Amino acid sequence: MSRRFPWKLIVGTAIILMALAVLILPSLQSGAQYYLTVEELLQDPARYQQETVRISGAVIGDSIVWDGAAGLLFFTIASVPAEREQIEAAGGFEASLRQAVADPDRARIDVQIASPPPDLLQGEVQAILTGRLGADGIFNADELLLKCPSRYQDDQP
Amino acid sequence: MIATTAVGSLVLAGLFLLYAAAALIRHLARHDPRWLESGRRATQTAWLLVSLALVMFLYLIFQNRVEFVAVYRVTRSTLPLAVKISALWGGQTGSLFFWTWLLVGVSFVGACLPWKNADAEKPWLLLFLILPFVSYLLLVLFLENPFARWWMLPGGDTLTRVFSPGAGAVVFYPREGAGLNPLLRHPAMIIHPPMLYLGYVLFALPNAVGMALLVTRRRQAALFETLRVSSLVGWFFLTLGLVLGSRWAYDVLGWGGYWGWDPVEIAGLLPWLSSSALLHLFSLHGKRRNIQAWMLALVLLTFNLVILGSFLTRSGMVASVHAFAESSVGTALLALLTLFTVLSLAIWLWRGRPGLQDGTRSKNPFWRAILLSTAGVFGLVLVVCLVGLAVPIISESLTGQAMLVSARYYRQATLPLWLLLLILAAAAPFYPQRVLITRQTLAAFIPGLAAGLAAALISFWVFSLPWLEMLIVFLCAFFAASSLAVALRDHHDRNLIENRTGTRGGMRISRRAASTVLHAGVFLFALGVLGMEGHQLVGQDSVAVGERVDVPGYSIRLDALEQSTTEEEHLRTTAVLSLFREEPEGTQLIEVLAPYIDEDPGYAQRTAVPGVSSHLIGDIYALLTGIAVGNRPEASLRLLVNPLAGFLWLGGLVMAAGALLFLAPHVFQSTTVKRREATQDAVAGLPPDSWKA
Repeated sequence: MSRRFPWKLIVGTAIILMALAVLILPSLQSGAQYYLTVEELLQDPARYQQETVRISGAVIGDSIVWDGAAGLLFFTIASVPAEREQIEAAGGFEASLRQAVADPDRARIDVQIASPPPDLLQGEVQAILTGRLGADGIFNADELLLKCPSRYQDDQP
Repeated sequence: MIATTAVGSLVLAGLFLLYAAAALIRHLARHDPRWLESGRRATQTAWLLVSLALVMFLYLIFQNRVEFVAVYRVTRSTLPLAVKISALWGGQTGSLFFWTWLLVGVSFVGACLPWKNADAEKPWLLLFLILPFVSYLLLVLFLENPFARWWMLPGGDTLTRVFSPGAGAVVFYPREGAGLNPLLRHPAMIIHPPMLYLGYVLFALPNAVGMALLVTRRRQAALFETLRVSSLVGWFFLTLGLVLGSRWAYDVLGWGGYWGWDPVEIAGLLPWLSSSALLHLFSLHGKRRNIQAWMLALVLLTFNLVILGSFLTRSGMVASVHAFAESSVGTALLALLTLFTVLSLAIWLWRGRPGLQDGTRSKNPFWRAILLSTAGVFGLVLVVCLVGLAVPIISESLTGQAMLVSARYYRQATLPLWLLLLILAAAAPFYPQRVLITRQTLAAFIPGLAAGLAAALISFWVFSLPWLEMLIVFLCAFFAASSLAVALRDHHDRNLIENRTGTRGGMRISRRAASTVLHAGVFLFALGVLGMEGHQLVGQDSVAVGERVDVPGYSIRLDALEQSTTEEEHLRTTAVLSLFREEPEGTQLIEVLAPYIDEDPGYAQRTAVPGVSSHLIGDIYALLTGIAVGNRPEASLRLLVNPLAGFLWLGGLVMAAGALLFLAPHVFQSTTVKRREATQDAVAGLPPDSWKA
């Protein structure tokens, strides 16, 4: 049998690609976010007031305040480096979190979120926040994700 | 001594597997069945050795031998027994070990099965089973050894090693273990990981069979049947595992949600999506080359996605509540993943890829289109998820700026696809009716349409649902009514057959019944999603004793705040609440709830456990989020009303039950052989357009 032009395959593939483009591209527009350290965020505050970003940092334990009446949670996070080399140079992830909290010169930012304090929230924990930088310099978070400290490799019993 | 025996056992198991591989290769070269037999037995022995090591590890956990690092990290002497069992999979090391044991167990099963009429494939499939198992065993032995201990050096430093580092080091015995992460102490956590892991590792078997079929190019029908059965079993456990995980998150993570589009959750969803697509292709009775090629592609893809999932979860690359610590296992798993992907792709392209032409005309183009579309839509969801997962990696390399996607991306991109799947699922009761417009099909379609329209109108007038939800309600009602009509017709036909053949009763479960149950589960789940996504109510306030928190229709009143110490020496603060419903006649007391906060000094962490009032029409969820002590103690309370939440779990369980029903004919096969002959004669005598169940 002679090979006819594979119309079905081409049309089918085209439809699938178009469907994917229609689904994925607009969703990426609205759903994709920059993932920044606190330091990177503070370098260009005007830009990040316009859009939703995700930032990560180390929670400073003493700063955690929960206003039950207003339903607002406040805390401060310190900048943690994102590069693996810098983290390893600091002595591992847990060590880099500890150093971030202890270092007074590290970039810090105040966070506000309308959510009760999650169980994992404590000092020296990595917080990953999604939200916007307010004009007053406070980061208004919509989502908070905490990376459990017990997950870090603990070599000292 | 235990460490030495256990590690020795694992090393021996590895050696046996390597020997088995060598024996199988020799069999392929020399065609000597004795080498095949030898390889088979070595594989079985390997699993027994790994099991021995696992039993020893469990012994260490139960005996609280915290000088072993993996035991120290997940247990404490005060833990109850049931929780200690789940400590096996509570940490990185234990869970990898458990996973490997299961994986080697699958090779044990593969080595035990008779594989009739599959002599050419048998050595290949055993080889392809051994390959991943040896890899994971090596990971366990060298990178995440469960039998590493704390050693104290003369200088006072401690380090972790399997064997003594020498230089006067002694074993260090910590006073007490770290204890299990409080979030993991939940009944669902006791069964969720084993179910999920079983689902994952069971796909190693169809993967091996698929690779063997590609290599020998023989298209053995019996082996395709094995592919179908093993994929069904894997899908069953995956579904259960995902539903249980979702239930755990709902109860424990305190946000009343059931799916967060967390990268690790997605990593678990990926093999479910590809296996769902695969199962729909099996219904096409694929003797046709192209369908078979795609089936095999999906089989291989599913197992590769399983390895991708284990890599994403354990490498620390993704930010997630699940992700285990970043460890060296990540790099090794990436290497493993690359190896398998390249190998699978190479074999499929070389031996199994579909031709460009279609071949003969299909006898049933309508159902072919529906089933292929269903598989295709699952594939599209898969691509959407993969793109979402890839964005962080690609964006960083291309633009230098890390980006990632939020849950919003996934929701927005997949919603139309889920809807499309629901529409396709509504066709399920009519399968495999060949002639579409007959009296019999209309007898089911019309009631379905009527019920659907009625339900949609009621939801519009009485509940004022938006059009999207109305569509879902329409589809659910349509499916329910048409399935019922079809079931009644099937029952009538079966009575006819039984009267003619003189046989009675029996457990013959038709594929249509299984399909109906499974898709009924899908629709129940869809209703649960509708309730949770569209109609969840949240209320929050800080109240003193005697005061209330309100949401439309419900309220909770704080009756008392109590403090106590648990048997595990946690400080527990309980809020005793009365839950009320607003009725036209007045406020009605439904239940007394007692959410509490546990402070665990060992973990320096608090756990908030909700009080839940569960009913079929919804859950009411009360959470104690904080306490303010003082002259007037106040409790911060959060009240969530989750309509139809129970339908999520019910739907998931019914889906899993449907999968079991698909497997049931295999269980009851022998008893129906005699009836089948009689049945075929009787069916031949039925009117030409009746249902042929």
